[in-house]
Amino acid sequence: MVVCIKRVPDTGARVEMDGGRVREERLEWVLNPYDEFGVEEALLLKAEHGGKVTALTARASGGEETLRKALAMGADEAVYVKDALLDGIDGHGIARVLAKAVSRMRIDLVICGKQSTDSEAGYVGGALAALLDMPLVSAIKRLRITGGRFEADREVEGGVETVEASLPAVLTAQKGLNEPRYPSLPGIMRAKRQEIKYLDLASLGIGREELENPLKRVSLAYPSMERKGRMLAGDIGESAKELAEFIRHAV
Amino acid sequence: MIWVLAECDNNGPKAITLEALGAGRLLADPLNLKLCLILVGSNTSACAKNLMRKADRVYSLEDPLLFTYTNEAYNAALAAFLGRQEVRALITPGTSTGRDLGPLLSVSLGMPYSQNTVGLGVSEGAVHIRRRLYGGKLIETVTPATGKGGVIISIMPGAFEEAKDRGTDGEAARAEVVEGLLREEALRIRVKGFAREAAGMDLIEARVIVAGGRGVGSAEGFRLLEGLAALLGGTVGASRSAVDAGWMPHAAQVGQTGKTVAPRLYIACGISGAPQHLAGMTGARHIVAINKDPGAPIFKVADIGIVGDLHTLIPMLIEELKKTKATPIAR
Ligand SMILES: Cc1cc2nc3c(=O)[nH]c(=O)nc-3n(C[C@H](O)[C@H](O)[C@H](O)COP(=O)(O)OP(=O)(O)OC[C@H]3O[C@@H](n4cnc5c(N)ncnc54)[C@H](O)[C@@H]3O)c2cc1C
Repeated sequence: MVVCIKRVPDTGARVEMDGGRVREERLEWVLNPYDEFGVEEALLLKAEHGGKVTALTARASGGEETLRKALAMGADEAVYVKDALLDGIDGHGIARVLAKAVSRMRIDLVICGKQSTDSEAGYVGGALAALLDMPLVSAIKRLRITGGRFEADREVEGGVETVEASLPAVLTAQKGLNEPRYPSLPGIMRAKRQEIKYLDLASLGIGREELENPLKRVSLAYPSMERKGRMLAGDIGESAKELAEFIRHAV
Repeated sequence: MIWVLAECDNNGPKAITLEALGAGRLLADPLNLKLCLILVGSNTSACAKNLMRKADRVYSLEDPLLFTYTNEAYNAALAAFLGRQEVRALITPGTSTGRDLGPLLSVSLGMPYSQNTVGLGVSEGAVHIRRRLYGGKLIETVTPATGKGGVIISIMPGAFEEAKDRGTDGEAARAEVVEGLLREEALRIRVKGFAREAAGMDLIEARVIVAGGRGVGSAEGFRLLEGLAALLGGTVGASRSAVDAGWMPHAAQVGQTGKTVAPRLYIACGISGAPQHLAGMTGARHIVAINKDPGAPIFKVADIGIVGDLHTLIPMLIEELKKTKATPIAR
């Protein structure tokens, strides 16, 4: 089992810009919450069916901490495609890199988060499935594996869809799939000593030109989220009247 | 051509399909390209009928194996068909289906994919895409690096005005599924069932959402919100605290790790307005905040804010609304 993970800024953090780029130095990083569901699910599957859990990440720098978190939770192995050329590369390129790395492993299952909380693209899992020519089941909330097949519940509008597919496959984890464990102290200590396996683009046979972002940034801006709202803080009966009037117009 | 992928249910096209057509017009008209709608399924005629006046051409891609959506069959059929067409942009709905399918089509068609799109325009002949990043904390504008190469644009529900009817019907066209392309035994994914969730109507499509947070106080407290929602023809949402407390199911959660919604009216009751919650609802057209703390951050994003106890205010509000017998909003 391979779990693809990445780091994201803590969702409570202020995201600041500098010259059209996000200022990253001051951000606090965490393992993407959806990826955490992915790691947990792989660990649960291992406990039930055996096998090995490999955590995989690809970025220019700063991936170690993310991988160590997965190791501390219980992953067996960590693989880091680390290359300066990955700086600023978006999901299109990252999916290609991950696909190359995964295609060199013998795997039954690839698990990704449904999306990351920074770009919120939800791209990499699906693209990975297409590049690896494996079935994709996205946004899963329940998983049961029996033999070479599995059954999963997907969250869709207005309900839950149950699908069945063959392995190997790519799954993306939705909230509700499980409750990720906290790393234990021995787990954290062990993770510190565990070796991370490094790969770079050359070793995967990928050239920089294959990774050019197909969408160019024109600008980056703060949205105008704030509204000049009216505040009603007086008599509650009057407030209710005025609010009813507002609602009637709004709908 | 500018393509729009339709999404329909038993009642006809979903609102997002009309929004996607509205979005498509923003590109088709300035680029002087045709706006083509594509419907996929086993019998698309009922849905197509309602849409003829909104597109220049309406294609039906039909096959018995497209009766139930699976990303595998839809991707194969659409990629084979669109691969032979001129595609400047393909607009897909930001629904669970569209978000499932988009990345697959991106690889199959060799086109980039842009998510969470909230604005579209044309500048010096280039397609400009405005999209949300970091849960709406930033807005990024991007353009395809290859200029005229195609791009797949997934739009956020509620972000675009619905397309208007044109004077005349568009042309109806058939899109043939390549003979032998879809074979049942070759499909690796099979849908076994669908269970409707009790949590009212779907949040993404709702015109009015009455959302509750920790301030609602209990599962029973949510009955009050349901009463208000029912009166307005809307549905009930929740903050993560309310979901974590077990008062509402996760399907009702709005925010970063829940749903991103953009209804016409969002009424936040007893919700403080944490950034992760705001990430899911600031796209609403009108926002009402009810909170007893005048310093609650939710007031910053509200059009109207009421400082007070929701348990007192909401029953009074319901009485006021009943007085004028506000007609429930048709969906
Ligand atoms: C990784 C991550 C992801 C998250 N994802 C989400 C998400 O998707 N959605 C989400 O909502 N949160 C999310 N959160 C949680 C978020 O940070 C907040 O904790 C949460 O939104 C708070 O919910 P709340 O506003 O209901 O509760 P609180 O912050 O406790 O606010 C309750 C509010 O109710 C008011 N109140 C109390 N009683 C009354 C009354 N009787 N009448 C009127 N007002 C009253 C109080 O003044 C207060 O403002 C996430 C957090 C993390 C770390």
